[in-house]
Amino acid sequence: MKNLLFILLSSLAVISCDWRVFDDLKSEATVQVINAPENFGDANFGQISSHLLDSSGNKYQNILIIGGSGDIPLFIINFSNGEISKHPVKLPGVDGLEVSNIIPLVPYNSEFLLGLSSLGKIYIVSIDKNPDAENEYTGTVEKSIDEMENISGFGRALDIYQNSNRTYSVIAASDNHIHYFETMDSAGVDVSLGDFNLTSTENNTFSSDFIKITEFDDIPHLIVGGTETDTNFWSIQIFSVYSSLLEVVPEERIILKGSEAYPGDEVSTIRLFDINNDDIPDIIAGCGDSIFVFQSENDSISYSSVPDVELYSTDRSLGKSIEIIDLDGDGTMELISTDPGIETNGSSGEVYIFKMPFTISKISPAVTIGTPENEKLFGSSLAGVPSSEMPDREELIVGGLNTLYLFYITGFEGDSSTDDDPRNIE
Amino acid sequence: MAKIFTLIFLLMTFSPSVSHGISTKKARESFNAGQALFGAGEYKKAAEKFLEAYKQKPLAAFLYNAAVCFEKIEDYTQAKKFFVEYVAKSPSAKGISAIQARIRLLNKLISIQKENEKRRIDAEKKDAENKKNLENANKKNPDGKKNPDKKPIPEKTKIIIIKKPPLPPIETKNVTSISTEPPGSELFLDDEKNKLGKTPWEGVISDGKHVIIIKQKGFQTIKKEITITKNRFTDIFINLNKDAKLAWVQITTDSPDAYIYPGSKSVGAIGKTPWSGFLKPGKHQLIISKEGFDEIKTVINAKAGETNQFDFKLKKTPIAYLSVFGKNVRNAKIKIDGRTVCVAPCLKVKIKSGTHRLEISKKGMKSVEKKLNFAPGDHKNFNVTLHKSPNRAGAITAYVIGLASLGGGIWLGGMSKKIEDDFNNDIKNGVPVYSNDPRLQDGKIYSIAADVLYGLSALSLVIAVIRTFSDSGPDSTINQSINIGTTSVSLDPVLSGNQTGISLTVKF
Repeated sequence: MKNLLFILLSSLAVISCDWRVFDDLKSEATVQVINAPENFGDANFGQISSHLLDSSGNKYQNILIIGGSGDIPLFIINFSNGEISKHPVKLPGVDGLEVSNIIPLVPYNSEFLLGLSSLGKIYIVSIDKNPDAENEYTGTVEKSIDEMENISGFGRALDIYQNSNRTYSVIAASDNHIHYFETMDSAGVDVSLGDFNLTSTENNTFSSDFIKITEFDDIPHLIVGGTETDTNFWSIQIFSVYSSLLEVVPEERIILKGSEAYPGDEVSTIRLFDINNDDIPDIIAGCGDSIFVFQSENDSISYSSVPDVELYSTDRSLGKSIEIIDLDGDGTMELISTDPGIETNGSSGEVYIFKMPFTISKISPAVTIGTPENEKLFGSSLAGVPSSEMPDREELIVGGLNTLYLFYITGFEGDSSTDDDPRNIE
Repeated sequence: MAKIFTLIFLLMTFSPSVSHGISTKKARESFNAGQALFGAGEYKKAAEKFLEAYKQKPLAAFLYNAAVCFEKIEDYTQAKKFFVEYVAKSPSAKGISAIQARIRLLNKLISIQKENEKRRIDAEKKDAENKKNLENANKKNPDGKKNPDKKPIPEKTKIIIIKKPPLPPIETKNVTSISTEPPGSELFLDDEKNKLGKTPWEGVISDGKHVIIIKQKGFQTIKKEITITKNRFTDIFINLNKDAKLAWVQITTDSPDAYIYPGSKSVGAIGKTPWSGFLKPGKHQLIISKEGFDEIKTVINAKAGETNQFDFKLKKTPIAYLSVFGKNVRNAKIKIDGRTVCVAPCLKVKIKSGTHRLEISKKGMKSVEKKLNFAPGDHKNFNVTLHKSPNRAGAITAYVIGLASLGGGIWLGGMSKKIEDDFNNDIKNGVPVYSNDPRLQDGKIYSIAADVLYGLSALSLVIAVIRTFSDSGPDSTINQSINIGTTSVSLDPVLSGNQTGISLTVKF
């Protein structure tokens, strides 16, 4: 009888299951799901994300700040050392934030500095570690522009330019205007306001969806993307801000716009990237239906009115977000774009990966990443973080309705093996 | 006409002997004449012819027919006489009870007939007396004068006749005579269950077609169809032919009623001793078996055309006796060498002497068995105590739960493994797999559930195995009792704590 029992128990021991294998499999997943922290609530975690800058103006590659609308609407996520740590950023005295834009700024006296827009308000916030809580950060509102709630759509597009005298020039779009705050200094005094309307060359009205201030030849330039409301085609205007934005000289503007041949009704985002290596940034604009690439001409700030390259995916509206990172570590970048609105099987959103450089004028994605099950607005935000064990390559972070997805692009050229996956998530 | 031809055919086929033929012929002639007269209503003459036929061949049917004739002419005395003789001669004849009832009725009729005759004679006497008295009274006076008081002639006396009860209708019998050469054959009518007797045979066979079967050892069995015609004397004679193809075999044993099997018991017995019958000439293997005796296996050589007689002596098988009683043994099966010999309690059950395995079993009780040696004539009593067998319902339930859990665990484990394989295949094939993939949770749940079921299965099966083999109750016992007249003495093993011993029980 003892032998029988021994055989019986041994057999059962042999066929028993080890459930821990699924924990191991979880760490081997090719997509790590980063859910919203508990106190973040179900409040748009993942739709707004941005890297932060160090005091030298360099990007913290491993650090992302996530904006949302919960009790704690800001979270810093650190991807260092192969681990993902989430840190709440508490903002004492600020309630009811619904972050719609985050602009990373160069910190002066704090660890991080950023500007954000929320419900008709704009804040400049410095962030430091909370000395009383190791994992927490505390944000301090350095500057604020408020009492703008009555202006419809104020803050829908935002950019902040840090002047050399530690003042900030703030440009924000509302539904029908672009608002310029010229001297918002770091001490928070003497803020002067001004606003102006942009029109097209035909004096058509213009609705701004995207604003960016960048320097061409050390001269600040304002890039505005939007819709010519009369023609309902996308339009981009670029002009210098070395004097005053209050007086825009139409003749000095560069205007790129859509047509029947290059359709699209908005400019969701614009990325500047020197594709042709002439040290002049080329313009990559997500224009609703397609992404249009305008390469600089004659090594100067001039662009052909006709896009050089069109990136498309049939029946998709590309360009809500655009990120350019080296996913496969081959030394050349990949362009990643999204269509958060495309619906498939009750979910929505797709991510498209285009290989660079662009050798033909019309290119479809090399890889399309479908929507995770039950996810909405997949592709609302994009970011790249370096792989901790393979620093010559980056991994893709895609934001959804309330979740971030860290993609180890398995199967994409450059991924050698899942065994090399450096991620280690708790 | 066809019937006559049949009769002629039979008469031609089977040639009668001369002496037999003369008497029979005369009898047949008288019988036929009697039948003809009977048909013509000449009953008295018909009776004479039947009695004449009886003188030639004393067949009871002739007396019966004569009695019928006398009854027709209301000579009940004669009718009764010949019916009585008929009954005496054929007491087992068909319808004999009806004839006896008729005889009783005839007695009554005879009495009535006598009474009526007496009344008639008395009436005649009275009338004669009356006439004489009248003549005397009407005689002339001595003085020669007429008697003035002359009386009138009286009326004849009325005779009151007792009414006779009616007799049931009756007809004469036909007669059939069957004889063989040689005589002494067994005679059957229609089948071998209806034996008429031995030849020569005369009697009554109902009208119509029949088959007669005639058997005699050493001769071929005859089966013939005959036709019996009404009011006819049918005479059948058959000359039997010797059967040279078969051997007549007679097998006897000194103790009768032994079964005879032809080579194997599986084909069934051909009969019991003493047995006689035909066998094909040659050697035959036989088994002669009788309970209580040793079985005989032998080979006989049967010779054709001869009477082969084989006598065997049966040797008694040594017998011993077995009695079983005790506690909880009622309705227990008592088996000797695997064969049930009785259901307890058993008293003096016969068994063959020798070494046997005694087994006592009862549903719900622990069986007990013992190897025993019975000397011829032994009578052994066994005091048996049966104890309850352990209840296996719990073990069966545990087995069912254990196996069901094992099956469920294997299924869930398979599901878990499938999920794991699917997940790994997706990784291998470059399909994005998410860290929050619900399959991981499902697989983990399946895996844990499988392990839980494996655990439950292990626990249940361990319990089942333990309960299967565990038996805390005492074993059933079988002890031989010693008979001393009506007193029995038994020796029982005793287990008490660490001590063991034997208890002696004496029953008076």
